[in-house]
Amino acid sequence: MTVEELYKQIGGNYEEVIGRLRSDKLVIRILGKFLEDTMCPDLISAWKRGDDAAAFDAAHSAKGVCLNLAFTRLGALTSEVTEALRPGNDDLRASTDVDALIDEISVEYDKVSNAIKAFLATQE
Amino acid sequence: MAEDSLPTQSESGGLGHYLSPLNVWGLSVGCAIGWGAFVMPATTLLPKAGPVGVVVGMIIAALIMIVVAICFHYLLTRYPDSGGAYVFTKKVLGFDHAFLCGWSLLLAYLAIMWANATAFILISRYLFGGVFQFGFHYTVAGYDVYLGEVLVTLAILLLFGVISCTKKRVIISLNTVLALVLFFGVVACFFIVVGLSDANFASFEPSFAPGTNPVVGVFGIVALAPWAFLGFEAISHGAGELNFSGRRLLPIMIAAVASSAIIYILMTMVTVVGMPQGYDSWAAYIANLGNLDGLAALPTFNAMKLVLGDIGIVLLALVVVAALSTTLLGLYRATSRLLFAISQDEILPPWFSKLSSDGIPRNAIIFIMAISVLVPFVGRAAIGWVVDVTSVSAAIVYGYAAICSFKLARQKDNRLIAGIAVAGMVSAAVFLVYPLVPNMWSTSALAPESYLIIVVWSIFGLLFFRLAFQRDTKNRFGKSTVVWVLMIFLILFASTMWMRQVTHDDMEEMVVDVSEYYANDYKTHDIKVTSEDLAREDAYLETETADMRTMLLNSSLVQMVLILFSLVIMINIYALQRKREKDLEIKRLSAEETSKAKTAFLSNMSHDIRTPMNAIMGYTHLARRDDATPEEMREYLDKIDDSGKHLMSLINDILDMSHIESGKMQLQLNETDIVKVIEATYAMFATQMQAKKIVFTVDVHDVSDNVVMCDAARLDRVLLNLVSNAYKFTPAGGAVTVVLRQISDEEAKAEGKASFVLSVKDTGIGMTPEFAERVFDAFERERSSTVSGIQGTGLGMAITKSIVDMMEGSIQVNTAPGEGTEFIISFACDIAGLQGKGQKEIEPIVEPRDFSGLRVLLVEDNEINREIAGLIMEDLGFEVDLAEDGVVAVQKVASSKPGTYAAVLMDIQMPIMDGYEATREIRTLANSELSSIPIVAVSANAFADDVRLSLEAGMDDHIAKPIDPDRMIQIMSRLIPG
Repeated sequence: MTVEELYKQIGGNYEEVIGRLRSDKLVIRILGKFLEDTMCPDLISAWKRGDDAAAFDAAHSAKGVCLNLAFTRLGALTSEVTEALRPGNDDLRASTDVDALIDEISVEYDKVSNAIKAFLATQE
Repeated sequence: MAEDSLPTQSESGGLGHYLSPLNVWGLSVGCAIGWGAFVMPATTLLPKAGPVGVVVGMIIAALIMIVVAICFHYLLTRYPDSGGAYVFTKKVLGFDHAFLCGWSLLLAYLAIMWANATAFILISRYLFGGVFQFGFHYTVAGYDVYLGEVLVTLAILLLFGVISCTKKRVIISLNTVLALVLFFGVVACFFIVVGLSDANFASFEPSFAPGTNPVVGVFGIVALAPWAFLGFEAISHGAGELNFSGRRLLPIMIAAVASSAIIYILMTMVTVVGMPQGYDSWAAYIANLGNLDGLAALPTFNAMKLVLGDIGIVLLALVVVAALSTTLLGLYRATSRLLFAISQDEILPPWFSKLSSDGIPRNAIIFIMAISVLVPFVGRAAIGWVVDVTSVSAAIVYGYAAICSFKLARQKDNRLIAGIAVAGMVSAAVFLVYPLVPNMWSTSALAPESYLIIVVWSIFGLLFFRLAFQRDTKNRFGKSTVVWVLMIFLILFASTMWMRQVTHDDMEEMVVDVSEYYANDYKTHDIKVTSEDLAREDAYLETETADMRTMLLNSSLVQMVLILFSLVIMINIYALQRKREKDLEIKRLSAEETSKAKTAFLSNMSHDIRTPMNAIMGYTHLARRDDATPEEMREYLDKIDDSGKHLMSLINDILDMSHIESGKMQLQLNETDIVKVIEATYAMFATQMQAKKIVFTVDVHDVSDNVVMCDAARLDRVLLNLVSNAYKFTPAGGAVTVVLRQISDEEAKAEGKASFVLSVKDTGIGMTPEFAERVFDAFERERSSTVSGIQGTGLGMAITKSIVDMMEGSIQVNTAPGEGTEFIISFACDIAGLQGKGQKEIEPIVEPRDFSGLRVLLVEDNEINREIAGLIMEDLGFEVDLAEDGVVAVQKVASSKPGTYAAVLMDIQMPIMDGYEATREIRTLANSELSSIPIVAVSANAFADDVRLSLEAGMDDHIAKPIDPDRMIQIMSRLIPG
């Protein structure tokens, strides 16, 4: 399995990430870091315990990570949560089903990290 | 308009336009001249001013009436209706004023009608003696009322009512003949009397009334004008029925006024000449008139009898009957049309505006007959009090005519008419005040009863106004408090005057009583007093009571003013309170409206989001199938891509809108070549326009300051919204034109600004006026667009409007269904610095540059982001130092040797110390080389205000995550000199 195939599988934009990082090797190195990164789990747990401020911080960081890695789908979801939770955007918050988004992020994150784990396993 | 709606006008032999100029003259003269013209010369005119004074006064009065006629004519050429002054006032000043005007007209017309109807019996008394004085009998205010005479008067009132219900043409012909008889009869009588009597110039001595100032006398005559000529304007109730152009009406009205003045003057002359033998001068005769009986008390008839005997009396009686008849016919007509017009406005029940088959408001005539039934029973003296009041109501009506024409003429910039109307307004004001104030310019006041009638009439008016207000379902009344105050003023003032008149009379009696008492007292006690002593005593009593009266009047006037003043304040408070309640209500409604719109928007939104989402999921499902060919796969992916893009634009719109709504959106002004922005739009749409066969043109005119300070992205957004809408709603074969024009605006230029007008015009389906009004409202979208599929978020125009508002510009829309749409935006921008002028701002082409040997400090809390950014920077040749939060970053910079770091890449959101704070700390470092180090914000937030915040914190630039390497090269090249 190639990195490109992996990206296709997890709803990411391979062209974008390779434009940024130039080589598959570097991408793979950072994908490994992604598995260690706790932003998405942090976001989910902060939301579950009702800590909006922490959830916003985590979402914001997760969004940066996902966009940098060109995880398009996860990036869009975390972006949406970030905007909804951004202090002051009450109207948007009211009209957004954050619970559903968090659920989606949870599913998507599991999907992405499982795929990466599986992928990295084949690389070793 | 009311006359236009008469159902049978055109069908039944063209009765719609049947009034010839002669008919109109007859109506006007007939209404103006009644019983008064034949008795007033002796009872009022001559005692006031004398023969020459009457002539001069009448001429001036006629001139003033011509001013009023010009006002009426100016109005009725614009509102040719049957309602006359009532309708003019309604159209120009609103219903409140129209009510007062109509109420005044009604009183005036009815009073004149009643006075003339009851005058028939007076002639019969002179001609036939007491023939009709049978049946029961009583006295009202000194006037004997007999059953027989009551019956005769009733018969006359009803007779004319019935005649007025018959064919229009018959009535008008009869009226015209009678008017001719009246006018030429008066002229004939004058020549007969002057020719056959031994009158010479000496007969007209004294020229002015003895013992009075001639000027005061003439003024007294002029002041009678509204009373004397009242009715000449009644023709305004027939403006819709003329068989000639309304413009030609003015000479006819002037002729009618002149004819009426001539009649008054000739009858005055006849009165003077008809002096019976045994008197030195007309003055002695007139002074003694009160003591005479029979014909001698009626100088005009007496004069005719002197020269022609009984034939003369019959002749003049014919003329007088013609005068009375024309007045009754004309006023039955005018009053019924007035009631008709008021009823058409649903202020009176619809019963009044029912028409007979001949197009005559018969019910209104029946109503007038019904209320007139009581009149004969109250006697002429009482009717006289009502008649005296008509000067007040006529002054109100003439005043309204003048105010309305003034207002209209000012709007139309007609200075001549405006000037004439001012003269009319001043005259009307004098006419209104003059009869109300006793002893003003030392002429007589109204009778106490007349003041009471004004009070009663005003109170009834207020009551009726209250009723009309209550019944008014169209919110037409209650707009003007001036009317209330005017009516209350009339009530208060007239009641004060009534009190004053009553005490005046009582005190006069008291003086007499007291004098008699003392005279008796002197007699019984046998005290000798000379007549001089008595006279002195009388005089003393007179002055004392006069002082008392003056004091009473003055204090009640002060009291009235105080009451009125507080009433005005109260009404004002009330109006203010009402306005406040209304404002609150409006706010509440608009809040409700917004929340409703938001709910509707959300449901629309969820529909719109679901639609592309369904497409994406559906095609994904299809693409997952094993048997999908690569071609099919590509097609599915294309569709998924399209839907995804649409969804993206939807989300962007929502985010923008929420920014705008929360007031977060800010313009980012940069040096921009505005022409480039427009041209870019052309490039963007050219292909798709061509594909849809739409002629797409972009024109730039007279733009001399093309480089201005402007938010290019936002301007682009505006253009994009407008042009894509134009594209969407223009069918194939249509045209879309974008025009940018700089307008020469010296004022703006002086402030260093350039003013532009940007127009986006299409030949598309256009909008209904209702939708065009709401097109800029957030959450609004055309119903058809939801039906016809995905057309947009319904936010585009609201965003456009908000952006234009932020640019301090204005946007307007010209559109009609099927006639295309044009959006016109006017805005002004600061002209960019002179060095930028004429230059094109070109995004520098990114040239790879070797940054090797340079070191940057990368501040980022997230390991992955740190790694990625690090890799990008290393790829560009940089050496990278890392810091995981703001505190570490500040420490690293502070402890570094100046020149170690070429730049700092600063994440914004970090624990412990965020990017803004860290930047501020660095900027305050003591070492100037370290504190001025280039700092670039790296943030996942890319809204304009995030960029602004970064720059405000002291950073040099801003780059959004995910990092675009090209952009990074650009920024670094700029910040680090090569």
